[in-house]
Amino acid sequence: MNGFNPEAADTKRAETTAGTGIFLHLVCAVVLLIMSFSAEGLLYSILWIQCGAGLLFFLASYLHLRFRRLAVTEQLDRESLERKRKSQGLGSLFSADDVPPAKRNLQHFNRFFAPALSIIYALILLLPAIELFYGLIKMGTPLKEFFFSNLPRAVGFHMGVIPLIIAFVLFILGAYSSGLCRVAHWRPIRAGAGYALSSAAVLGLVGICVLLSSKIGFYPERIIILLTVIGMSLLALEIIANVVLDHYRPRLPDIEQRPAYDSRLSGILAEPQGVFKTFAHTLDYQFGFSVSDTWFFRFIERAFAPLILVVIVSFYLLSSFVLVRPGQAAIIERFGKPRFFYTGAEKDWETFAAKHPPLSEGLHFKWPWPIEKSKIINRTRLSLITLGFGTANEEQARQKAEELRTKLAQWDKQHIEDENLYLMPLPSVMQTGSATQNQRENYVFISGSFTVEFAINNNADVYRYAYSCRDPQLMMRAIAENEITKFLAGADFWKVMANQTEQTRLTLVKNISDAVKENKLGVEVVNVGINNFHPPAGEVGAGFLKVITSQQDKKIEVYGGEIKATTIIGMAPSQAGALTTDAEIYKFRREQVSAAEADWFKNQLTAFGAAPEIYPVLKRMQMLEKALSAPRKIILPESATMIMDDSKAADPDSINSILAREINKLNK
Amino acid sequence: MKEKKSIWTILLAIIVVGILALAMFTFTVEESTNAIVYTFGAVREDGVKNEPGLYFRWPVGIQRIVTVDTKERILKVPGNEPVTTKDQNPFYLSLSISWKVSDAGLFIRRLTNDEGLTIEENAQRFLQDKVRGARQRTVNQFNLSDIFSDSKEQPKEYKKFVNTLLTQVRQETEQSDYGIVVDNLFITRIAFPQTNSKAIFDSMIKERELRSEKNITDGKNEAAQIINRANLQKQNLISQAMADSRRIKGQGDAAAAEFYKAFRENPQLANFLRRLDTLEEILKKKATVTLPSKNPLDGLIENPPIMKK
Repeated sequence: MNGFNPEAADTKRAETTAGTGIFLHLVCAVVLLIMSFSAEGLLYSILWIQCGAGLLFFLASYLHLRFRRLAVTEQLDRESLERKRKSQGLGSLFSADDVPPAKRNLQHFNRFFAPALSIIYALILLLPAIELFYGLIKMGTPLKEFFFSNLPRAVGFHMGVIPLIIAFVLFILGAYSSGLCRVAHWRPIRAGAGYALSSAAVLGLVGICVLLSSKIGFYPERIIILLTVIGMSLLALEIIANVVLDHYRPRLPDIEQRPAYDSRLSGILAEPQGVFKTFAHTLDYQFGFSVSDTWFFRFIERAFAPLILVVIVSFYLLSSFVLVRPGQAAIIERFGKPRFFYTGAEKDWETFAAKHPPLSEGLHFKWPWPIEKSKIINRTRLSLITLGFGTANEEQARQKAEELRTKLAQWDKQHIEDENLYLMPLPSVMQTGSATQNQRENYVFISGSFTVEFAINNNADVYRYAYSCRDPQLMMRAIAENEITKFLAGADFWKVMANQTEQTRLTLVKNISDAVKENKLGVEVVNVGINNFHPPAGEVGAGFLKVITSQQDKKIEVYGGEIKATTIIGMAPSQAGALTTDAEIYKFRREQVSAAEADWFKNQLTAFGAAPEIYPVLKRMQMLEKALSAPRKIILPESATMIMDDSKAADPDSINSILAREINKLNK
Repeated sequence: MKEKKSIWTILLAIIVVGILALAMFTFTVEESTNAIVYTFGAVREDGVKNEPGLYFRWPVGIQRIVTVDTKERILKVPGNEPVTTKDQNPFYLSLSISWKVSDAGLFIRRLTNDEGLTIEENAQRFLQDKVRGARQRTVNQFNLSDIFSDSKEQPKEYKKFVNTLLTQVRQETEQSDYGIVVDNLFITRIAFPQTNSKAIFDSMIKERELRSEKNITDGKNEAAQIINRANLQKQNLISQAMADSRRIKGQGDAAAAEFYKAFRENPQLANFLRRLDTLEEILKKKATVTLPSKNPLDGLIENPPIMKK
């Protein structure tokens, strides 16, 4: 590059632009600094430094342009003077070795001042990174946790608008400056141009994220901080690398080098056509022919920016479409209030909903955001709250209910943690005698889990649901718990637990529905499910089980008695029968035998009559023959006596001993 | 062509500037929201916007907008400390109240603090205090046995209790003038201190033990009665059978007696023959007979029969 092109003297425009850049960056940095005092978090503290650094780049550009202009002007003046003196036949005033002052200043700027400035700029750009990471390391916060945790808050609208305005201003400045730097002798302004455009990009991103934060529900502040700090650090490292490389790069005489602070990274933004040129050359090389000369490539090159704009606008216009799914309804809000609802009107949702019902399922159109916004409400989809466990967190309650459904829940064991105990009055059947002096014994506990299903069924309720309560689920839970507690406070324990569960359920449905209507929640109770009424699990539950067991034991005792009774009675008829049968046999025998005996006697009588003297003897002998054949016979002498001990049985040995004794007596 | 391009650029710039200006000079108040406009830190007469819609404002630095949600909110007041009823029953009463902002300006003004709490957190702290105080004072006026009983008066008493509590909370809230109104109150949980709960558990357990013992005793009694009845029935049956058998035997004897008239023709012969039979019978069973050496067979039978002529 020939830095002493006469045209290079004309740098006023570039200098003015650089001066404007200094001023604008200063103003923007001050505004961001003021915002950082009211904003929470680190982002605006980093942004004002980032914006303020742009001031320095434009300052360097300004100085570079000024020194060059002065050097060129000086050279032109010298040459003019030399020509004049030569025409007058005078000698040269200057020697060949003389370096004019302005040129020397320029050389000093290029050789010393620019690198020094570059180092200073790099350090300034590294400051936020050093401060941030040092602070995190000191606090001991893991980096991943710090940068990727979302912040739940939405940020004020103006906190997004102001960065967008600054971004716009810097974009205009950067775009103008980058246009200027296409002219060779204005190229020093490229450093500021690139930096202004990169600042515009960062601030534009911040503005868009802030404005969208209320819509998307979180604000990725820390991610933006991370990206900004990384970008600034990369820039700083590139500048330092440039300083080092420039030191070793051979310098060609009369060719001005690119200053180290003139970043090639930010130059991508300043000279985007340079990116395209590089891309085109690469394509040509790869494909082996001039792809970059085709009409399609040239069209893309020309239309790239407008195409991006069209895409952005298209995405924005997508906010004009509202898709309402089955079971949902949508309310369109125009500048904050429901569409067609005029300010000052009384909030009679019934009348309003009759005229302007919410949008039903399907695709609908509206003005784009932020003119009109849509609010989607789950309408006929059933919502569910689960109660009876000691937690207000619906997710946890459902997990416990699910756990209870899948496991075998026994009354005598604690089957789930934190089951609610509802207080009830002691039923009369459980009162043991006269009123107890200990009043605590006048109450009982009962456990149970419930599900309440509700939905929004009519159009007016859609509006009511959307605008009456901040957290309808929480309100629903409070209402349901209240009604359950109230009902059980006066209910009969046994009717609730055993006899009238369905009636209890219906009563609760009615009570909760009435309470919901009274509180204008905008929902309708579809069903109340009572999943499990039982006495407190554990020892109390075991006591209840014991009563059921005792009822079985009672039956067992009764059955045992009946079995014994059956056994007792069972044999009696047979015993009685045996007695009467014996009697019958006796009677029969007596009748028959006595008849036979009578007939036999008549015959004996006849025989006796025939031989009265012989008959008795015959009969006697017949009997003796028969009867004495078997028994043992002992014949004793007349003088022998036989004394028998009646207490002893007449066994042969005792008889023998008696006989032997008697015989001995006789022999003596 | 260049002019056309610059016209488009200018148009685009106007649109962008217009949008940004609109954003800087307007604000929206949502439905169920109030906005307070601070102009140089102060709220002017028309500084509270209660109605939803689009409003004009001066940019940041001149005016600051603070929005307040005026929807119903739920505040949970857990029963962390016990309250005692008139009949000396301590228990834990957990409540929820539904409240909303009635005066946004007052709400902001009175509840902005230097303690690092947000306005909402401060409001919740204030309401918690009020509810706790009202809770203690109200519970002291009622008997637990009136609120929890199966009497006909119970629903009325319960309602009276809740209404009294709500009235107390409302009065205290309004007196403090924080721009808050309490709409409703819900009793979400009642629990006893552990000792009292244990006493109730113990009494339930004892009652059930008594019931089960009674069941078993009833069973045993009933079984004994069944056995007794069976024994009676059996004895009756046997006794009846014994009586019947006597009667039948008697009938047999009576029948036999008719036939034994035949023995009257010669009673001695009948006697003699009968004694022979008896002796024969006796001598069948393991007998040992001692006989005299002289006339061993004599004297075995005395009184021979006499022929009746």
